[in-house]
Amino acid sequence: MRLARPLENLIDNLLKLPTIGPKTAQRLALYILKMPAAEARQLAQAIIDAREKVFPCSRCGYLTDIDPCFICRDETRDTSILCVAEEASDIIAMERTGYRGRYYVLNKNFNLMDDNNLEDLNLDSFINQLASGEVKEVVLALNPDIEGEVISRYLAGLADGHGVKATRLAHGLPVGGDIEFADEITLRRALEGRKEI
Amino acid sequence: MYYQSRSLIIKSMDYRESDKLVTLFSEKEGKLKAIARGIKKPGSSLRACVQPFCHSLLFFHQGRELDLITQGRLLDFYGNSREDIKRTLHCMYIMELLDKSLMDRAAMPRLYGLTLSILQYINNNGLNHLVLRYFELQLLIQLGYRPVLDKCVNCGRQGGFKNFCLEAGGMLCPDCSAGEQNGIVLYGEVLGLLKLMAHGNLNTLQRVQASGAALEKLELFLERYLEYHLERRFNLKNTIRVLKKSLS
Repeated sequence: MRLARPLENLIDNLLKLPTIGPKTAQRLALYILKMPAAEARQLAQAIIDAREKVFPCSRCGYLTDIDPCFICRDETRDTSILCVAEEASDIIAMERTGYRGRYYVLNKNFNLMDDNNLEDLNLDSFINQLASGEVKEVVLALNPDIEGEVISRYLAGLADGHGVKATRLAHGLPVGGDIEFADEITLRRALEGRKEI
Repeated sequence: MYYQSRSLIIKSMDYRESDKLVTLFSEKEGKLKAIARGIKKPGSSLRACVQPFCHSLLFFHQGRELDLITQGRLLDFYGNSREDIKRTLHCMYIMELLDKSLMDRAAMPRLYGLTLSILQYINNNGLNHLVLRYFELQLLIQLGYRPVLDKCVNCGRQGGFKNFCLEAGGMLCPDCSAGEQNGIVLYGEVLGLLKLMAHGNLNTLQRVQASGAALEKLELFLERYLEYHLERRFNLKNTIRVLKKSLS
């Protein structure tokens, strides 16, 4: 069925968003049309503002509208510990744990079989922070997959070159999980990383 | 329609919110792509079965465009290789070779069996560069690029020639190689190893002691031969070199 051109355009643009299929895009577009004009304008302005005013922090790579970001400005944080994460969303998860050190976000999708190179990772600010002598420990909080492991080893090598200790998050069973249903790879890692109680 | 097949997982990439698009090398169907639903969720029972270079028995539902992985059972995850970054990267390199050289939906049971035995060998005995080179050469042979090593590929003249032509895929006699610009000089230990790898099997090969210089030359030769005929660059080799430099 033929739709009004602006509506079709809106649906086409919503379809570009992740997890949005044709039906959801159509439902969202029709909902936007029913919104009060002021709210629709506010939504459009919020998208423009976020796109124009938010950028990665020059020191840690976290998404911010002021440079350095509020985490890097916070003087109550422990500057001797630096947590390396893949994405800004990982920082949000780490903050919920009560971690009070600093961060470094790689902001880059790295795939071993694509034309990615470890040397293309933007690590200038990371290396400067290591060289400053302030950082005593680097916590590698990367996803527990092969790409995460490779980047961790590479960064650990760089940290070692500056005399900085590198640690990584433990691998193991999720809290509330059931050992019976745990897969062999996770269980093996959990067994290797067991702790005395 | 439902079907099942033992499969080696080549790679997976994000697909929708919690799904992954898995590229795998199945025993019955060859290389194919299939969707694994919900495997990013912690409770997913499929997650371990679709990790790169895992050997799993997978159950599929045939879809219109992409098949769906409905169930799976892990057969081997090569735990020793997974604990060692060098072995992990070399196993991933084998997966990259498969990914970039195989056609979709073309079953290759002999190559499948060979890949399993190489992964098993690396897991049990550690990294052996000669075994990796053996896999590269056997892959080329299975794809129809067997190098002609004991006679001139052009005129068929028998003899111990030294000039290998990538384009022709074999040795050239002095008459045929006149004016040839891109020849590779192959002789002595390197040529002997190539002949052994082309006709021997994994059992004989693991008893062979090769010199470091010959292994290095063999690696460079096979890298050029692979890149020339498959017209692909293999990124894992570069990552292995970078990481080796950073860890040394």
